[in-house]
Amino acid sequence: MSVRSTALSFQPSPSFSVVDALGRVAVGWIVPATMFVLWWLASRYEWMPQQILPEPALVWQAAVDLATQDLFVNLWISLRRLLWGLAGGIAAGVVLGALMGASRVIRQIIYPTFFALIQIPTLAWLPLFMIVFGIGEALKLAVIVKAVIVPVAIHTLAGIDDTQPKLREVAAALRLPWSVRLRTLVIPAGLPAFITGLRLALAQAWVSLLAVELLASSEGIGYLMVWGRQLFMLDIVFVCIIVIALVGWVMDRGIQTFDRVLIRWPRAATPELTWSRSKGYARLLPWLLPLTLLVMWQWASTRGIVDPNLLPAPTTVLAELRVGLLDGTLLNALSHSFARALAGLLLGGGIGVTLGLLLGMSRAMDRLLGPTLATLRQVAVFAWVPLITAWVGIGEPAKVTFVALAAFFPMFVAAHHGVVNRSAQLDEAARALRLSHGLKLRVLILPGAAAAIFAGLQLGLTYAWLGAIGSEYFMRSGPGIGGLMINAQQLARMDIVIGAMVLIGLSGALLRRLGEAIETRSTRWRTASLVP
Amino acid sequence: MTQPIVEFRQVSKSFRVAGGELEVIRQFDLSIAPGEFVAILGQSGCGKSTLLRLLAGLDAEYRGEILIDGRVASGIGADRGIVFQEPRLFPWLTVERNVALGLVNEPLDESQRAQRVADYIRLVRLEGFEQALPHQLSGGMSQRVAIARGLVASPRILMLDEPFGALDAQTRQQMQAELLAIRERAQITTLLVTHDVEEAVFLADRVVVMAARPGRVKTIAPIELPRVRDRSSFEFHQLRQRLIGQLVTEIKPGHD
Repeated sequence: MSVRSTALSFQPSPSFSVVDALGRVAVGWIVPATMFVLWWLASRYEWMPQQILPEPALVWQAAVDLATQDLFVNLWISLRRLLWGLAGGIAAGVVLGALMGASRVIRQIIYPTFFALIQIPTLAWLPLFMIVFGIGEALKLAVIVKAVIVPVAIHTLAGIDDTQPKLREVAAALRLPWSVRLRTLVIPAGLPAFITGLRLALAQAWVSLLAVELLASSEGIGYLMVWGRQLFMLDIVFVCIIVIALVGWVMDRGIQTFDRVLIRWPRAATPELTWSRSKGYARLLPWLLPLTLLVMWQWASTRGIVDPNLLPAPTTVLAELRVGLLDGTLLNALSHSFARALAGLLLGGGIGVTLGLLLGMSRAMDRLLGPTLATLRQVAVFAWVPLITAWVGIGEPAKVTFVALAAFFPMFVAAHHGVVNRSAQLDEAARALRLSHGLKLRVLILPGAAAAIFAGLQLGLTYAWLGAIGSEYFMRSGPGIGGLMINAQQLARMDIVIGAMVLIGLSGALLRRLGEAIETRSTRWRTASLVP
Repeated sequence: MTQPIVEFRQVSKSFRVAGGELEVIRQFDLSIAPGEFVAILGQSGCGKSTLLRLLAGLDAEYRGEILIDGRVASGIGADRGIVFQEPRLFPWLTVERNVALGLVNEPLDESQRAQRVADYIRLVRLEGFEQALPHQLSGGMSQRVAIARGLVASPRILMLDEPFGALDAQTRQQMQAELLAIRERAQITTLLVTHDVEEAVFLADRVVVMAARPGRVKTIAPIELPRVRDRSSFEFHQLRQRLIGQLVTEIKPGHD
C-alpha cells in the first residue's frame, strides 16, 4: 500500500514511449547483429580457418547435438557440485559470522586469523587442495566451500553489526525477549547485508568451480570445454560459453528477485566493519588462535601424526621460503607474475575506463554497446580460457590477454557507474556556465567519477593479480608464481605450495593497500579540510 | 498533595570521558503528581534527555534516587512508556506489528492483543494504515505510530523525548493538539522533554527550566491557563516571554 503519492512526474504519451522503447532495444542489437554477420562472412569466405572460427551453423548444430547428449549431463554435474558446495559454505559462513557477531571475545580470537587467511585467494588454495583432497569430488566441494564461506561470513558479521543502536535501545525499552529481538531486529536488520554476501558467494562459487573443472576434472561443464578445446572443436567451446553466461545470469537475477521480494523497506548502506583495539590481556587474544594452530601443526608433523609430505612442519615451510627467496627463484617468479598483472591491468583497465567514460557520457553509445557488454559480463572469466588458448596460444600474449579480460569489467563498471551517478545539480551548473566538453570532462566528470574509478581500481588490481596466477595455471609456460605452485603440486612439494600461498597472500594484501593509498591520495578533496 | 507517582531525589549523573568525569546532572529534585503533565525545558546539552533515560531505566548508573510510587525504580518496567525524538520504528514491520511490539510482555491472548492494537491505532487516528510500512508514512504519522507503541501497554507514565522536534511547524502544532486529545482519552502522567518554549507552555501543567553544565533545576513555573490554550492570547505570550527570559540568561556568555 502506497500512502505517499509518487506519480507526480510527467508521463509521455504511450504511443511515443512504445516506439522509443522499441528503438532503444533495437539499438542494443546492432553490435551483436554486426558481429554475427561478420562471423558468418568470415567463416563463409574462409578469412580464418574453420577450426579457429567455426561457422555459426556449425555452432548451432553442435548446440543441438550437445543438448541431446553431453551438455545437460555435464551441466547437471556442475550444478550439483555448486549446490552442495553452496549449502555447506553458506551454513559454515553463517555460523562463523554469527559467532563473531555475537561475542566480542570470539571475534577477537577468530577475526584476525580469518582476515589473514582470506588474503589468500581461492585460486591460490587450489594446488594445496589438490594435494590434500586429490582431484575428485572432494576437491570441488572444498573449493566451493572456501569461495562461499568468506563473503557469507563477512556479510553476516556486517549485518549483525548493522543492527542500529537506536533500535536496540527501543528493544531494551520495550523489554523484548531474546527470541523476539532476534526475529524482529537482528535478522531483518542483517538481511540486506547477508543477501549481498550471498550474491557475491554465488558468483565466486560459479567462477571457482569453473576454474577447478578446467584444471582437474573428468566431467562437468568446465571439463566439456577442455575436451572441446583439446579436440579443437571450438563450436563446443562456444556453446559452453553461452551456457555458462546463461547460468550466471539466471543466478544473479534469481538473487536480485529474492532480494526485492524479501526486502521491501529502504535499506541503509552496508557499514564498514569496525575493529576496536583492545587493552591489557585482551590484546593477546588475536594471537591465541594462530599460535595454537601453528604449535599443533608443528607438533603433529614432527611427531609424524600427519604425513610430512601432506603437511610439512611450519619450520620446513619457512626454510623452503628462505631458500626460495635467497636463491631468487621465488622472487623471480613473483616479479614475472607481477609484470603480467600490471600489463594486463594497464591494457584491460585502460580500455575499461575509456569505454566506461564513453558509455557514461553518451546515451547513444550506451544503448549501442551497453547490452552487449552486460551480456559478456555474465560469462565467468575462466570460460574464456579455452578460446584464448586456441586463438592466442599459451605464451605471454595469451596470459596478458586473460589478465586484461579479468581486469576489464571491474574498471569498466566502476567508471560507467561513476559518470552516470554524477551530481545532477553540478551538471546543470556546468550547462549554465556553458562549459566546453573538454573542460566539463576535466572539472566535473573525471573528478566526480574518480572515487568510483579508484574503487574499481582496487578491485581491478585484485582481479589482475588473480588473473595472472590463474593464467599460469592454465597456460603453463614461462616463469611465474602460479606456475611454480602448480609444478610444486605435481611434485607434491607441499612446502613450496604453502610458501607460495603465503607470498601470494602478502602480495595481494600489499596490492590492496597500494590501491587504497592511491585512492585516498587522489580523492583528497572528499576528506580534506580547508585549514591545512 | 497526594503521593507523587514519580520522584527524583538528588539525582546526579556523570559520564566518564577521556581524562576525567563530566558532570551532566547535579542534584536534580522533582516530584510529579499522578495525572500531571510536566515539561522539562532546557537548551541542548543540559542533560534533560539523560534524565528521561534514567527514569526509563535505559541507564542505571547514577547517584541519588528515582522513586515510582514511593519505591526505588529498578530496571525497565511496563509502567513506563517512552517515545523518542525519531520515531525509531522497525522499518521491516508494518504499523500494526510495530505497535504490537509494545505488548510483547503483556499476558494477553491473541484476540485481546489484536483488539488492543486496533484500539491504539484508532486512538492515534491511523485506521486504514495498519499494513503500511514505516517508509510509506509521513513524519507526523510515524511519530503517531511511535506514540501508539509507547501507550499500548497502558503504562502509567508516558515519557516523551522531544517527540515533535523533527517535524515541520504546522505538523508539530497539529501533533501537540492531538497529544492533548490522546491524554484526555487515556489519563496518563506525562513527562515531556523539549527545547521549544511554546510547546512547553501549550502542553504542560508545570514547566521545569533547567540550567546547563551541569544540568540542574533553575525554576519551576506552573502554567495555569485553561486548555485548550490560545497561542495568540496575551497571557500565553507573557508566560512564553518569561520562560524565554529564563532560558536566555542561561545562554548569556560569561554567566555560568
